[in-house]
Amino acid sequence: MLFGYAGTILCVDAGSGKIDKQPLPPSLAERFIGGRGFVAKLLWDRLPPDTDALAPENVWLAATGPLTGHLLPASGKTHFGAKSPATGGYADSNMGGHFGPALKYAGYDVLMITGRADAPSILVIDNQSVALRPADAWWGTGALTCETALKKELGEDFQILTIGPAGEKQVRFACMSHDFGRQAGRTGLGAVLGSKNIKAIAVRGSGGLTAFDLEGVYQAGRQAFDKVKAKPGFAGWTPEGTAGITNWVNEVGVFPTRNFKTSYADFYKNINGQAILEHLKITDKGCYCCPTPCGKYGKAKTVLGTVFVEGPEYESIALLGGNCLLSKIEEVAYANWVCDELGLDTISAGAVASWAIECFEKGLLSQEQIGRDVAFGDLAAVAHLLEIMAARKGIGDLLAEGVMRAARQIGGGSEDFAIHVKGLEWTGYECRNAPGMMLAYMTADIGAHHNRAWVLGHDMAGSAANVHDLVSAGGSGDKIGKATIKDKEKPVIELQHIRPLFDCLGICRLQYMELGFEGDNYADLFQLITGRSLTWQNLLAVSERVWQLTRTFSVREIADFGRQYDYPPARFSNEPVPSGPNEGHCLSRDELDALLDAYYAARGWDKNGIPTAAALERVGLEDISRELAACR
Amino acid sequence: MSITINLHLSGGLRAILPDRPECITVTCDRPELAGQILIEAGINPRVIMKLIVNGRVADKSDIIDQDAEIYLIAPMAGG
Amino acid sequence: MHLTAEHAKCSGCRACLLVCALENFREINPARAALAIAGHFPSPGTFSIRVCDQCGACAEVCPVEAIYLKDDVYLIDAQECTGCLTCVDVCPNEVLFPPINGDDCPVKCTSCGACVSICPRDALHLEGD
Repeated sequence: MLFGYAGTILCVDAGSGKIDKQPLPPSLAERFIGGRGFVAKLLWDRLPPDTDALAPENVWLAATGPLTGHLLPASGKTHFGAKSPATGGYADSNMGGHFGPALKYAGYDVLMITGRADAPSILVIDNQSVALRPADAWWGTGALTCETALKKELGEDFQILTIGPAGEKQVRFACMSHDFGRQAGRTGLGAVLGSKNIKAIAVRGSGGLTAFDLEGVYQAGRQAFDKVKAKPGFAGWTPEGTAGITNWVNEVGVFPTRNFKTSYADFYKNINGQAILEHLKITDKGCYCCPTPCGKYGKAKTVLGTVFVEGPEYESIALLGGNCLLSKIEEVAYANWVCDELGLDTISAGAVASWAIECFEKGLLSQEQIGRDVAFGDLAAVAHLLEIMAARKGIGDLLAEGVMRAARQIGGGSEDFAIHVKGLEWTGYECRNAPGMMLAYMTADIGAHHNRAWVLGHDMAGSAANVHDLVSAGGSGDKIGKATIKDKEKPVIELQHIRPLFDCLGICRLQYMELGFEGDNYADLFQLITGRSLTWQNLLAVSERVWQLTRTFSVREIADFGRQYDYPPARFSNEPVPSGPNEGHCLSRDELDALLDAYYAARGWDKNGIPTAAALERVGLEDISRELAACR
Repeated sequence: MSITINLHLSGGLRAILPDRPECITVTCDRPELAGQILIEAGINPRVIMKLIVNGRVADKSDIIDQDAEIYLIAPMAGG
Repeated sequence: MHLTAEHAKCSGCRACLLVCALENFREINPARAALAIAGHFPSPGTFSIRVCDQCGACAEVCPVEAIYLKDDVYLIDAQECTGCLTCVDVCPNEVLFPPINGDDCPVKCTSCGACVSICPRDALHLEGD
C-alpha cells in the first residue's frame, strides 16, 4: 500500500472522452517521489516521438506529491508539465493555492490529459465522477471571470483551474489560473490546455488521505506549525510577501529595466512591498495550510479602471514595473490584472512587451503594425500590447510566439535584445554582474528561470575584495566591484537539487528557504506519512535524479540540443551595464564558457552539455540512458 | 555604555556564508548603524535583505542603541 | 466555551478544517470539519470564517433530543441521532454539516480548540460564557 498518496493516476483522453483510472505504480513513487518527479518520468514514458507541443498528442500533467494535502506547513502545491510550447523541451510550472489538495482528496495523485476535445470543454472531477462538459458559455471569457462563473455554477467547494483567451489562442506563454490570483505561469502550459480545447478543470475532493503513522503525523504536523511560528523571521516575511525584495534588488543593481538594458529604477520605492501595503492591500491571502501567506490581494485604481488583483508579486513588479517602466504600484497591479484575466504569464508577457517597445524605439516595429505608439512607462501602451498578444491580433500574432521566435522574424539586430534562454523569457534579475545567477538562468531546465537556483546572495558575497570596502548602509548608487566567476557551479548545482525537491514533495519551499525550517523536519514527516525512511540527503538524491532526467528529456526532444541552447542573449555580453550600481559590468563569451565548462564537468555532462551514460547511471537512470541511446 | 547584539543568521544566509555560526555576538560601546554592525561582524551588508530587530522589521540604516536580538534575512527569490 | 472569529485576519489557508477533522475523527480530510471558510472574490477580496457559537438552535429543533448541553457546549449523541438533518437546515451559521461516508450523525463543533491552536493568523478564539 502506498501510504500518503491517493494511489491513482487519472487519465483523460479529451478526444474520445475516455476516462482511465490507473493505479499509481509503487516503483514510480519509490524512484521519483511525486510532483515534479512524476511529471518528468511520465512525460518521458508517455509522450509519443516527434510530438509538437501544441498537437493533440502532447501530454499535459498535473501532479501532487506525497506531502500534498497533509497537515504540515504549506502543503498546497500542484506541479504541472508537458512538452514546452516555448522551448520544445521540458516544461513544468508550479502553483500554490488549493487545487492539488483537492485532486488528492478526490482520489488522484496525477491528472493526465491527452488528445483534443472536439469542442471547447471543461473537465469536472467530482470525487470519483469524472466528465467532460461543454464550455460554450465560457470560451472567450477571462480566466478570472470564468472561475467566478464556475464557482457559482458548481459550488464554492470546487477548486477551479482556468485558462484565459490567451490559452485559447495558444499563445506560447499562456498560463493557467486558480483561486483568483494564483497561476502556473511559465512555459505556456495554458496554451497546451487551449490546444486540447480545455477551458477549465474543476475538482471537488471529499475523501481522506492515508498516512503510515496517523497519530505521528498529527503530532508532528502540529509541531511543525509551532516550529515555523517560533522562527525569528516568521513575522517579518508575511507583510510584504515576495515584493519585499524590491528595495534590495535595486540597492544592488539587479532590477531589470528597459528590457534589461539597465538594472536600477529610481522610482523603485513607488513599486515596492511598502507601496502595496499603502495603496493596494486588502487581505493576506494564502495557500493550503500555509502559515506565512505571501499573497497580497488588493484593489488598484488607475485611469484605465479599478481592479481587484492578487499581487503584484516581485516578478510582476520586475517585468511589468521595471522592465516596462511602469512607475506606480497601481499601474503595475493593473497590468498584472490584465495578464491574469487574459491568462498571460506576467513574466513572459512583460518581457515580450518591453522587447516590442524597444523594437518600436529602434524603428523595427511601426505604429501601424502595433496599432498605436508605444513607449516605456505608458500603461495604456503596455495594456494594448498585452491585449493584442493575447488575441493574436495583427503583429500580436507574432508577439504571441515569444521573443525568440518574434526576433527571428523581425531581425534587424532584435535577436541581441530578445532576452531569453532556450526560448523562455528571462525573469526578474539582471545578471551582468552576477555570474552565479547568470549560470543558474543558463542551465535552468525549462529555459531562463530563477527558481531552480537562486544564488544572487552568493554573487553579492563575492563582489568585494573584503567586507570593509563596502558602504555600510548598502545604498544604491554605490558602485559594486566585479563579482568572481570562480566556483559558481557549486551553489548552483546544490540549489538545483534543493529547491525542486519541494516540487517533488508537493509543498512550498518558503518555510525552509526563508525561515530556516530544517530539512530533517520534512524527512521526518515524509517517513510518518509514507512509511519510507529517507534522510534529507536521500531525498536530495532523488531530486538530482529528476534534474538529470529533465535535461535528458530536452536532449531527446530537441534534435540539436546542447551547449548552444544554454547561452544568454548577446546584450549581456556586448553591452556593459550603462548606469547604476553595476555600471560597466558584463560577462564576456569567454566567461560564460568558463561557467558552462565548470558546470558541465561537475554534472558529469560532455562538453556539449549532454548527460553521459555514466552521469545517468550514477543517479540510477540506467534505463533512461539505454532508451536515449536507442533513439539517437 | 555597552550594547550587546546577537546576530542570528537565517538558513538562507548560512547557505551563502557556510563558515559562519548560527549566532554572532557583537559588542558596541556606543549606538551604531545596523549596517556598520554587520561589517564589524564580518558580514557583507549587501547579502542582507532585511533585519528583524527585537521582533520588528528594521533597515541597515537604522541605529541600534540598546541590546538587541537581530535576525538577519538573506534575500530570496521573488515569485 | 465557544468559538469566535476575526475574519479580517483569515488568509484562507484552511488548516483549521484539516486539524478539526484530525482532532475529532482522526481523518486527513477537511470535508469532515465543523467550521467553514468562505472566500469572497474577486470583490471585496476577503475571507470569512463560519464557526459554531453554541447558540443551541440545533438542540431546540432536534425531534429526538439528541443534542445536549454539556459544560456550555452543545454535543450530538450519535446513538440517539436519527439522521433527519433538521438541525443542519436550521443552523443560523450553516456550520452543521451533513454526515459523509455512511455516518448518520451530522458534524458539529465540540469547542475542542484545535483550530484555535493551529491558526497561524490568530484569527480564531475560544471564549468563555
